[in-house]
Amino acid sequence: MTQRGMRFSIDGFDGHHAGLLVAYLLQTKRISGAGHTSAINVFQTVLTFIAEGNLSKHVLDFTRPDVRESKSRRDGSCCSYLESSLDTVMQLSSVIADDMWDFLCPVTLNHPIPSSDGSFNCFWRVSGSAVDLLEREARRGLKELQSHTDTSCYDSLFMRKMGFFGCHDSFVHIPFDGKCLPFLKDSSLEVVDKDVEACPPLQAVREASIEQRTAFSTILAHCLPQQHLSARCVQLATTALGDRVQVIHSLVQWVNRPADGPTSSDSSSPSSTPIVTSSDPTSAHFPMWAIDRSADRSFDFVVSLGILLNNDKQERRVDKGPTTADGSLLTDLAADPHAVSGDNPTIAQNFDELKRFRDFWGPKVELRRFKDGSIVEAVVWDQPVTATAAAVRGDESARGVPSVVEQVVRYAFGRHLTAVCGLGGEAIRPVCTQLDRFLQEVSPLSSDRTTRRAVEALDSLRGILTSKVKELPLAIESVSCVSPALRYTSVHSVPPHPIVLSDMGSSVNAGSNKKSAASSKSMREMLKKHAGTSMSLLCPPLKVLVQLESTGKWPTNDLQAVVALKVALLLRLRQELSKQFQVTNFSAGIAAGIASNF
Amino acid sequence: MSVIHADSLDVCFEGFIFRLSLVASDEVESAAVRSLSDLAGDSALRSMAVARSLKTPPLHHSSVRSLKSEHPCYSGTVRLFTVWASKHCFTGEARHACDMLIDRSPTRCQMRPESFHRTSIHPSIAVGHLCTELIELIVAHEFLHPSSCTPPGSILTGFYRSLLRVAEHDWESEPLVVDLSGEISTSPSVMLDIVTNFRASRSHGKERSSDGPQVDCSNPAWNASFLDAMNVPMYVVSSADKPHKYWPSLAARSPEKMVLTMIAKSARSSAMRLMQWIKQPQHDEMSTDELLAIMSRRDAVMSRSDVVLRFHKSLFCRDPARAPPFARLNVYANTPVSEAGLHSLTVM
Repeated sequence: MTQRGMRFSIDGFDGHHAGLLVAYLLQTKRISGAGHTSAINVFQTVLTFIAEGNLSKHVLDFTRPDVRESKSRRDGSCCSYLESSLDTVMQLSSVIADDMWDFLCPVTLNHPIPSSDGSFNCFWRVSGSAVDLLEREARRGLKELQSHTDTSCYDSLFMRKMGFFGCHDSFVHIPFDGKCLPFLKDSSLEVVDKDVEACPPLQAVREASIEQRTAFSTILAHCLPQQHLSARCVQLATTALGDRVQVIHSLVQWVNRPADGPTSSDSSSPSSTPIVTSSDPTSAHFPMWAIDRSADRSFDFVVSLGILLNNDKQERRVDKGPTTADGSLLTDLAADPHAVSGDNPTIAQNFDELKRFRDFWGPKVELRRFKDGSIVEAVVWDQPVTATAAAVRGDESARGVPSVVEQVVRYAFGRHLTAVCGLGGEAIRPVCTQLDRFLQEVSPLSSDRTTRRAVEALDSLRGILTSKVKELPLAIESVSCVSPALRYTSVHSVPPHPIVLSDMGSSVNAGSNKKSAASSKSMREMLKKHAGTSMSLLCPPLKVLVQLESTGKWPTNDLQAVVALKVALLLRLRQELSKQFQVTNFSAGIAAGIASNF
Repeated sequence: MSVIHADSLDVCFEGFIFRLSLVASDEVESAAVRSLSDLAGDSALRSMAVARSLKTPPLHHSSVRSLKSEHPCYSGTVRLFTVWASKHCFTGEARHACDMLIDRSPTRCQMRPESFHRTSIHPSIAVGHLCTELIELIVAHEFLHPSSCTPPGSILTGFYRSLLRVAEHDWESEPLVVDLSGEISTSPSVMLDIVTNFRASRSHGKERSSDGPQVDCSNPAWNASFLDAMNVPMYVVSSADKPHKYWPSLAARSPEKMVLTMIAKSARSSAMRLMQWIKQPQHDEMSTDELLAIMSRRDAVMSRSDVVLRFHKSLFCRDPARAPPFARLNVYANTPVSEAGLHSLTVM
């Protein structure tokens, strides 16, 4: 857990929880306490227990060791232990919990830590996201252990440090201002100008609708603010991004205010809210204050969402709304009161989905007709454009369009968490595709489209060489690429050169007047198109290996003879290309000179 | 349109120039190489030369293409890592430019990059650089063997993990094995061969430095010069090295030990700064400057260089619109067609 950055997060498992878990497995005889079980077997048992989803599906009851997982969980949010014979451990846990509660919850109301039947949930601060992350890691670790019989999995399991930010593909940081929370939790509380001066984000709170504030208040009424805000962010991002993502996890981190005390301008300035950093990992996620000051209980915190992207669908630009099975338009059906009245439960269910879809996306929803003939309500996102491309196109703002994931996240959080994120989601910071865009700015030509054009050209040439060139003494078996520019990894992809493109298929020396005239015309058009510009006369070649068929007639032990034969074959190949496809050379002197050397 | 060279044929096709090199069967190529005086008595080096130039590159190419189709962000990660290495002066881009200037033939279309290895300009430029293939393999390792994580799903993650790999891998005592085709992981004997080869080359290097016995006699094919050639600081083996009997075919292009230390240090520093940048809750408007700071730090190499040669960007960038002063055609509406023919091009 330490190597995976789980132990010291606010809402994650820690060493105490791990100790309790192993104690439970001992108590329920899943682990033998006789002393002959090796550590790796105990570890494997613990991983298996977690990987099977026991933490998220069942209540673990210490009081009745003979009955395993006695109750089904109701909300699926966290795990419960009842007080048991493990008095020392539980007392310690209670003390910690009281301290944490007193410390973490300056604004909340009642909380569910001690339940009505006297039981105590010692995993009370572990979020569902942390449980999910732990289960995924357990499954992966178990797979590693089972696929390697030797000790080769030791490094990957225990030695490589890869925390929350190393394990996910993209991130969204949502900063929460601690001063907003008292206002957000009470929808009837008026925000006055004085408060807004003290805390600029409260302007958004004041402008938020009563419904939004009431909804927020309801969330905050039941648990720690950061726990529920974190869960809310995960739920919101999951709904908004849909199948663009595999899974989303959250991490809550405290943010220290400046040492000299917060001011209205400082609290809104990004540079004034650095995240707490320390060489000690245990203090990395917890608030800190000077020893001669009293504890500030209104710490800001940041909810960081870690997203595992779905490669195939992350760039999808359309989110379609629900449709009926027969493709009829739900909007029309909605206008018919009989259709939605409940006579047809399927339509009613679809209509509910449509309503939820509209509520979620708001004014972004539009009715669209698609190529397959379906007419559905959908949300369409803009095509991502880099700032450079936008400037070239003459866009005045020249700021470009962010990635689809960033557009979705900003819109969804701006719409549903306006008080915190701003109307357009300005307050959040997606870390998604900045590096992709940076790469495009640095090397605008290194696009897959440019490479694909070269690959397609080579495929055409391969077809000609392997099947259409007939008169070579040795047949061509295969044509292999070796240039990085033909495998999409070159920083400097090779675009088609205008001169080569215009002169392609020309016949300067072959005497074909018709071809020559066509070539000249094509070249003139190219020159007219590029008039007023400078054109590079450098042209990089793309290296290709041509495998010849096997034969026993090659000379042996004589490199010069082999090279001479290859030159002869190349000359013949050039001749055949010229004869069959009307391509000729433009500097025959070079070839003649080389040929005469042998 | 086609142009013949001493060992290849340039064919102009659909706007591109393809340089075709003919390859005969293995026996013919090996026999031809055997006739070279400097490799005549060394069968291991001879077969390695053939495999390295003719067999491994196509395998490597097809494996990388497959990986790219499986992981769409792989190619972007390689490109970004190449930009990082280039900004830190750890790539061999300058090598190609130097080659053009030093080995330039009076006749156009006859420039031979192969001759540059004889010229020593700077360790990090001439031999001690990260070539594209090495970068592709290092990045591929993170996609194929992601340890306890899932394979990277974004350029950001792939780049960060690749930096960490370069910084944290124990290059001295462990080979970096990249199983591009899945053959190595399914065959324990192959893995054993790789480890045995690695240990033989490393132990040979240690014996040589301590003036001990020079040759490891466990395999008759491994003579001193062969083990010398294989004992490289960055020992990377992939499944594309199968024709090479799983010796590193990129050994000749590995960075030198001193340069590797510099690369690892820069990678560690960049990874730390990148992580700080990722964790920032705000500061979005500063991201471009911060990214530039992460990506470019030339001090490590520049401070150690006595002479710095600066090359025109167009020698690296293949954009026809970026014309260098020495190979530029100013196009006007009345430019005669004869000035813009293929004969005016310089193939580099």
